[in-house]
Amino acid sequence: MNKNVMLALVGNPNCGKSTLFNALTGARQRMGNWPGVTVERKSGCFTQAGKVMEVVDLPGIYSNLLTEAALDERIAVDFILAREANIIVNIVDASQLERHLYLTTQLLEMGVPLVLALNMMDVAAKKNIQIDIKKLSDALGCPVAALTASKGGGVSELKQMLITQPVVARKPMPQHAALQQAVQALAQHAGSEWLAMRLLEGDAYAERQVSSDVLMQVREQQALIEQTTGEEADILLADARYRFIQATLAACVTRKAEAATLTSRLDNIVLNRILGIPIFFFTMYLLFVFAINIGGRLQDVFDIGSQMIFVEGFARVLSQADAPLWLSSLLANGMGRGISTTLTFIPVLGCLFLFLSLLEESGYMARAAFVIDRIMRVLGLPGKAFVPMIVGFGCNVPAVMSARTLESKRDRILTIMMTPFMSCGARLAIFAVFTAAFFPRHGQNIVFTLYLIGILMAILTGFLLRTSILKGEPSPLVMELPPYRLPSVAVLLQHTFQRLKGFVYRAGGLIIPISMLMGLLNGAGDTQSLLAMLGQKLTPIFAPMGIQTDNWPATVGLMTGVLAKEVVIGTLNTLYSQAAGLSQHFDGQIGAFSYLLFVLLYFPCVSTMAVMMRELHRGWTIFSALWMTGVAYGTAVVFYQAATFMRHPVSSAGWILSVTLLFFAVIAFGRWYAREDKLVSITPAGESA
Amino acid sequence: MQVSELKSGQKARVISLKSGDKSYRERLIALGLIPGTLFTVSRVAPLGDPIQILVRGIALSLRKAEASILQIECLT
Repeated sequence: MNKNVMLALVGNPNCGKSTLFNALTGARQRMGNWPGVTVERKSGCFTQAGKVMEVVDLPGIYSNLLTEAALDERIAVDFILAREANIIVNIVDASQLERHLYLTTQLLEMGVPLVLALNMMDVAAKKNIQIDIKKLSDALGCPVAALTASKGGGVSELKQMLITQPVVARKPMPQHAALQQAVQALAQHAGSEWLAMRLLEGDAYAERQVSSDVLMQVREQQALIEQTTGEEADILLADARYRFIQATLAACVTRKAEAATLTSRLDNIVLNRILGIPIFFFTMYLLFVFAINIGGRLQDVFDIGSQMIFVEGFARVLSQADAPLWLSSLLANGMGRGISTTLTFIPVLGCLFLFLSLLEESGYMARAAFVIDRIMRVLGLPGKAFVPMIVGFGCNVPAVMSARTLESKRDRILTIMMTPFMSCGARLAIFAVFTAAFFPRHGQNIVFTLYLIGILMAILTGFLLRTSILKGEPSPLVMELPPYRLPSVAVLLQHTFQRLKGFVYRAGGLIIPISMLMGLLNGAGDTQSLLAMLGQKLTPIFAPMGIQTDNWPATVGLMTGVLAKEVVIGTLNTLYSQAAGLSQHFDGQIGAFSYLLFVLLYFPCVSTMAVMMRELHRGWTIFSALWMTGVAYGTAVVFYQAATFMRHPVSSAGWILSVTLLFFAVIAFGRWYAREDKLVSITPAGESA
Repeated sequence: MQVSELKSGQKARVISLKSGDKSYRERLIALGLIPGTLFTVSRVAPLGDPIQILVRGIALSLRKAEASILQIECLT
């Protein structure tokens, strides 16, 4: 009797599902991922009349037909078709009923207990749309609740309605005669009329339920239908649904003619042929300013604060307790710095997530994608992938996380593999110090060149992946441009908070242990530390890019730079302390530039790696780290050897030739690997099927 | 006739859908772009692609090349 009732919230994208979810569950929410995949699973609960109601918020879908749709849609469809929920709450936008009721008709066909929640009644009223709720409920054969979820209107009535479990009163929709015959012919073999209908429609879920014999019959029936009616079965079914919807709406809804809406007037400006692109770039610029400048300011405050508490504070406590050096390195310089690194991302990420949520909720994100789609297509990516690229110039961590807004997994992987090549703010700090020391006159050109090389490498990486492992076009574009909406502050803050929480837990879990390892290796941070010894051992590897053996601090700098790239300069300063500055230690401008090339392109920092792990699979993260380091080494070596060719032509030619050969060998391997069709081993098992 | 041949502001009717990419086709069907449906081209993106159409009261954006699975007739 006291068993929990499971509710599933189902609806089209942009129907106000999240708002209703918040209104229903309040603070009692859990965020997590669906098993095995990186799609957010939101669930929560509320108590009504002594019964605990569990609510699962499903990703937005347009149809419950299972095809090779985007991952998050597939999760929603699978959940619905597996009939895991006791009641389905179907949320529809009352101001766009015709489109939204399509999914409703499909759910009614399934015969699941269903409550229809008409959301955005206020918007509908503003558009002069009047809906006869009673008539609509009778016509559809399911309870209907009127809501204005954004203002909390109607939510308690809906909760009441859910307690009296809705009965299933399925009314068959009138179908084309030929289709009806086919359904009846198939029903006895398939098990039910519903399954027969789904088979005719070509639903992958239904096809998994029946034997190959039945599938053969389905193909025959499909051919028969096409012969007699001239249309395919899926179109006939959709046509019947839309006819039913139109008839229902004609009986239950009255609407007066509406004037040009605010949305269409705004779109005339925002999507204007001349203004569209400047407005897009201005918005991206604002995003950048907001996240990097404002968030960056706050970051400094956070940085000083958390350094004081977690690094210096820990160190002081430990030294007072006479703790041994290794313990102090482990806890203060290791764990303390790790916590501090994680925390200092909060302002920048918070600002970015807030702005991104604003773009998404207001409806501009879809417009931005519309305007820039053509340019991004050249890179084999959809329009939305522009955001991570831009954000990457500030910091790669939020950039990788913002790739979440892309629907298809292929697009997400491709974007995330490309973003770390965007030179971030931390790398700019290194460039600034080096150019001041080595290129006092043309510093800006050097930095600009480095940025360009980063972008070129990103494009090259994207191209190589697209032509080997990640073949295929960007997912086809069927994007709704939702009406502009003034988002509620509560929803924006909640989105931001949830994404931030995800970052702190997942990324912190990787950043802190690695920081501890580095702290331990670094010891007192002098020439006697393990890290310094390791650096001395490794330096010969970097000889081909111009780092001499006595310049081992440069190697140590690269190693600590893995933690966070801005640390490179700090390390160099500590280790070079006796000598007179940077310029003594590198092989002039050529040596400095090849070092900068390496710094630009090598190993993404720990924090970026941590979010990559969160967004993708471990394999892709390791691939990215190896690929970037390889590209960095190759580029730096080829540059250095070419620039100093005259000094030692034979060995230079040897190096350039072998790096080039290795590069092509790797590409050839990648193509061979892709041709072997081993994609499955790269994508995690749960996401490949 | 194909969607890519339409100009901004023109009205058209869907005649048929080719099979093409299955999930793309099913998405278009779910959004109501089925034979007999009327739609208007609201605008073309600043760089010439994609286009925005108004169908059954919703604004949709489609890429010209992908939308070529739609056979249409122009009404204006």
